Amino acid sequence: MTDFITMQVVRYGLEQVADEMGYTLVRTGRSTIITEIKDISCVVTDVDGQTVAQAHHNPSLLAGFEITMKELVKKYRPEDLAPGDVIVMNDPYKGGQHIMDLYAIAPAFHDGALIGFVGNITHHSDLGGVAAGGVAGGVREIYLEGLRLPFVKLMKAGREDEEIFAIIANQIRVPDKTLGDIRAQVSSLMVGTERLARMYDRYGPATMQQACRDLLDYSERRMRLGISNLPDGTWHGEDVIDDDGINDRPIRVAVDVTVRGDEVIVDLTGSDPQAEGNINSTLANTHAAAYYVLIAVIDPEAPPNSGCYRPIRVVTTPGTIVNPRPPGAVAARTNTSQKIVEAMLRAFSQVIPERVTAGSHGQISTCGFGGTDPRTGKPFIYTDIQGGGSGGRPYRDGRDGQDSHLPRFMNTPIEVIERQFPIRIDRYEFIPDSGGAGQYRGGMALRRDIRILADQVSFARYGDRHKFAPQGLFGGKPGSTGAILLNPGTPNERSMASKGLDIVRINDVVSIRLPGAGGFGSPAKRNADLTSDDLRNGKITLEAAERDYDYKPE
Amino acid sequence: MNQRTYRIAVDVGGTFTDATLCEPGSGKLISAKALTTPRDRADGVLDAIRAVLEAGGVSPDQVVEVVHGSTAGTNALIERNGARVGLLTTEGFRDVLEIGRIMRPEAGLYDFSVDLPLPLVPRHLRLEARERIAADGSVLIPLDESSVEAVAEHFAREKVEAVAICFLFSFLNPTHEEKAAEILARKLPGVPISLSAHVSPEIREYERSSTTVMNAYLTPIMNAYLDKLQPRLRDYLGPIRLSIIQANGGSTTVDLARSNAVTTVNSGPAGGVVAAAFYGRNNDRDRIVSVDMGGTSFDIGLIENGISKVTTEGAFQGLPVKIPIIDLHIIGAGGGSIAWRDPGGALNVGPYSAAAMPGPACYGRGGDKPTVTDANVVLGRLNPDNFNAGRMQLDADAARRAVASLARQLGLGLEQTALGIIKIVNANMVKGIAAVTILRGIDVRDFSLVSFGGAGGVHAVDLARDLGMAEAVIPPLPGTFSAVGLLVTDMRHDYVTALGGLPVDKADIAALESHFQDMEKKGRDALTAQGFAAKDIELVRLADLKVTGQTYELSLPLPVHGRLDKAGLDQLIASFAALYRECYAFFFEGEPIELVNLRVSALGHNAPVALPHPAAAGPDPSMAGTGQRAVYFEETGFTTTAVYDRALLKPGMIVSGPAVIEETTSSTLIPPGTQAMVAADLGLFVPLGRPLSDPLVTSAMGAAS
Repeated sequence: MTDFITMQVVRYGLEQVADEMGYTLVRTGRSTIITEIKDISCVVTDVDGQTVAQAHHNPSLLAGFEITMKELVKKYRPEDLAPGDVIVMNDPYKGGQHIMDLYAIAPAFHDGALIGFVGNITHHSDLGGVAAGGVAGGVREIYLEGLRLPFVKLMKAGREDEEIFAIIANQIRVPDKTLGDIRAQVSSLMVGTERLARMYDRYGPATMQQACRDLLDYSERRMRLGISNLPDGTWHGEDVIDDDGINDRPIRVAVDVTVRGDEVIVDLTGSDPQAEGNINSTLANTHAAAYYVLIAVIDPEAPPNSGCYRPIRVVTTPGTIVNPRPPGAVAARTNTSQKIVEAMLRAFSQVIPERVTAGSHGQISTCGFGGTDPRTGKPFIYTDIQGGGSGGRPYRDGRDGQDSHLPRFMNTPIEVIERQFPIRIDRYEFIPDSGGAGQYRGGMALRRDIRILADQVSFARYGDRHKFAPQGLFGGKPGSTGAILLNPGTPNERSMASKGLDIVRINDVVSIRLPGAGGFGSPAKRNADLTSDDLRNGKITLEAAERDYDYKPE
Repeated sequence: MNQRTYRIAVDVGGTFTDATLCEPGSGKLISAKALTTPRDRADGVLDAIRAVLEAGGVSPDQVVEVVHGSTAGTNALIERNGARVGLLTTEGFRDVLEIGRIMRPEAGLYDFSVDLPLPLVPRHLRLEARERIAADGSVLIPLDESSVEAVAEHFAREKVEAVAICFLFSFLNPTHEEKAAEILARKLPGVPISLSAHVSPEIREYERSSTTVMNAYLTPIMNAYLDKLQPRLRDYLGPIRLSIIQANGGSTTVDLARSNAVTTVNSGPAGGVVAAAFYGRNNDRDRIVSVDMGGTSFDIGLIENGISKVTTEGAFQGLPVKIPIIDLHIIGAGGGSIAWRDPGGALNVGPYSAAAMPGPACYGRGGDKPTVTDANVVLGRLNPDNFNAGRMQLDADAARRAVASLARQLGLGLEQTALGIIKIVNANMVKGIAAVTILRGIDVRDFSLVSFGGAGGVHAVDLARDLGMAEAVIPPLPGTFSAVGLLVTDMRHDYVTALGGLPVDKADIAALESHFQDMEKKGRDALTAQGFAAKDIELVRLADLKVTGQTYELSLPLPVHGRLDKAGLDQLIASFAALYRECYAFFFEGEPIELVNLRVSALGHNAPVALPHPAAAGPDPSMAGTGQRAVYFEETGFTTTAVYDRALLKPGMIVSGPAVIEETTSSTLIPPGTQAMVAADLGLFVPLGRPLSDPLVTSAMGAAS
């Protein structure tokens, strides 16, 4: 092996390459889902497709490269690849996430030899399908979810394949935006291949390749060490999804986590069968959830690369909610993978209670609005993603109104939304009493009221936790459930399903209320000063303070 | 009565307050230090001024100006002891300040315990007014004045010490904020009010609120500090001009510093970047990466075309600020950074620091963890007997013990471990430099690395080499170099007009010109009132543009001076396309482009400062030699290395590596295979990968050769 010093120096360099790719993608993207929300990830892999460095964006997207790259190196031999090639793919059954998440991968060369790959993954605001934004719930087949691309060479030796671009353009609603976003992915890859080659110039191929192998071994060793510090045993955890958007019955995710020596088995075979609606979690997505939890509870500072995953075995049964068969639909899959996270944390709470959190909002509420902007006569697609509460922690309250666990992204500034889209935001605020009571309170939920300023706008969404609340731990109370209300506080108020597709009209207000999070520990143990602070700040109401914390007004 | 001609720069640091006096005419600089007095920092400022006047034999009535780098704002922000602020927002949006952008910090990607900083205003002091400006700047809901009056009563009850107002779209239409401010001012006499439309009139409500709230949070602190300092300076020095340095690298008046307190945060490190730019200009270098390495932090700045790079996407203490500030990247790497072995067996350096207490093991103050300074001592790169001008004896055995204990854990030799510590801290610093250069599409191969700060000299040449840079430069007096920036900087006022995304083909050129002229008039009037003659006033026009549909803009100076016309606008667009291509590899011809903001920077130039140019000597440096010692290098192991006293070096001398050049507050390592040229102003220039005859190399020697 190389020495640890060279390995660390190469590691920083590779992380820099991934960071530069992410920066380029954000700066050159067209859609707010890239430029503001930053729902992207970037990786550098070795020639075998093993991830050696990642840009720290979105953990749910990252593990997807594991399976995708294995498939890619099977399909393309080194002699099939040339500098300037870019391969795209979004097939959920080939390691993809859902149709909207487009992988773009470029081979990197040094002195004519293949040295590895750089890749990025971007959540697009549209790649066709039944509704603008690709986020309609209650969809039955993958064919309705958009244009499913197998591995396709979009660029050949630096030249765009115009025919493939034309096929894509024909399937999407706002081609100039989406094609611009795809070109931003290409720019990011070109920056990545150039920077990686420069590192090879600097250190030489032998050192680079050895340092990459060492990095993978190093992360593996850290994980194994952390795992072997846990007692052997098996722990069970469960969570439920409200429904699949078609049938009104809960769907169960069940996990047995087994620690044996320096390995972990994540057995999800007890989970329910594949659903009719599109909450099925593809294998890549299921693996991402398992990897995320293990890195978080075992060694959050290990360099996240393929080596981390070696001591982990994920067991699933084909045809279940955690490993669907085609043509099952999958767009709303994150509502399931967030439940895998919750179930695993519940299992680990039985052995390492000091390293877990209570139940978080446990879903991803993605809303897509599409229609025609009356100011310009042009089509528009607005994608809105929000955070909810994060679970109470063994040492502190949960984070209020943030992303949690698998997704990591930003909201879109109200002023940017209103300048770009026929939409006005009427309210954006915390929901009092949404954080479950506990010694450490669960994080608060957010409310966002979206007023529609165009007529006949499609409102597609998938979310969850409208029926089953985020759970507390060790005596902590559950957090609030979520809701979507149309025209709240008016005679026309009505509740909307968490997953679906509707048409809304001009001046309608869609009020999205995210779920909160569960508390950690008994509320009776809460420090009285924290309760008075929450009360003064309106994070809890007087009624809740009296009920949950035995608060006595002075 | 004496003529007032001397200028003094005062920079308040954590341990010392430095004062530097500039002699008119010669430009000669004289420095003195006093202890920083945390209870009332004005004491230390006065002490340092007294000391420097004494050292220079100058009387108080010869002083015309004091340029002050105040840390009052920075400290209040770090210690979180600023004012009790009330925030007034548009109805429905009081939580924007706390919700932020909802993204957890990068360090919290897998770590549940990492949180974003708390907002500066708690929820119970964030209240709402009924009003709404639409996205086109028109009034959607008129301001309900009674709602503002109710807020004023609440703020009065809560005894807020400052108020911030941030309404949606106020950057397009400030009338509601202005009216609300009037009402609040009536009800809350003496309470300073910050308006977002004045502090940071730019799109993105969270970042604008964060900036405005920070301004309010710091205003009473700044007022209290200046209220103490101003009369004491007046009593001692008489009627001088007091200028306050800002984070944009320029100085401002006391009155403006009071109303724009946020602009003074982090102004100290900004002074260092200004000094590096000045030093570069004097030596015909206009592309510079400036690095300031002290005990705990490593501050990186970027200078292109002789101009310090400015950003409007910065942050202080994790809170965003949307005002133009010098683009400084600060990482936790310094002489005190601690080296440690992680559970996987790898060596890491930092982010933990031994700081000044207990300090590195070799300080002998109880520290036993190996630090970067200890590694430098083990390798013979720092002289334990001549540290900080011999005022401090380093314990080399303690350094060896600390590094040896780490070496045992790693299964490596002592020197191998020490060298590893240096390589890893260097890799951290290289990554930090890359973040502000390569990450922004800047090729550093033609850049000079200008290094200062006490700990910089032993790393500078290695860093520049690792980055493939043209040369490493260590200016004279690296220990107090930042103060030079305060003396050479311009008075600077920045103005911005938000256009909100105007397609360039729909732009009314006459209207753009009139926006520029309005801002220029404001700048010219302000500088004239501050005593600048017309010939010393410079007005720089800039524009922020973006590709339609993208949300990030690039800021660039107008390529054509004078009145804007169609040709000038076309050239601006062409420059934007070129810059875009440089930053992001691709620009698709024919893309629609929008104007986001117009900006004017109004600069008032001060009298020039010149570093002294002592008489030159021949290339042989042996008269400055003080002996030799064994220094460890990767290729050659412990190697006999010549040691020089920097104070004895003369312009024109050439020091060949391996060599160590020692001076009172720093040491410079000249590795084997490199050479340091002593420049006319006594700066050390180490060309890398270039023959000594290269014009870039010879230019700095100018008068020396």
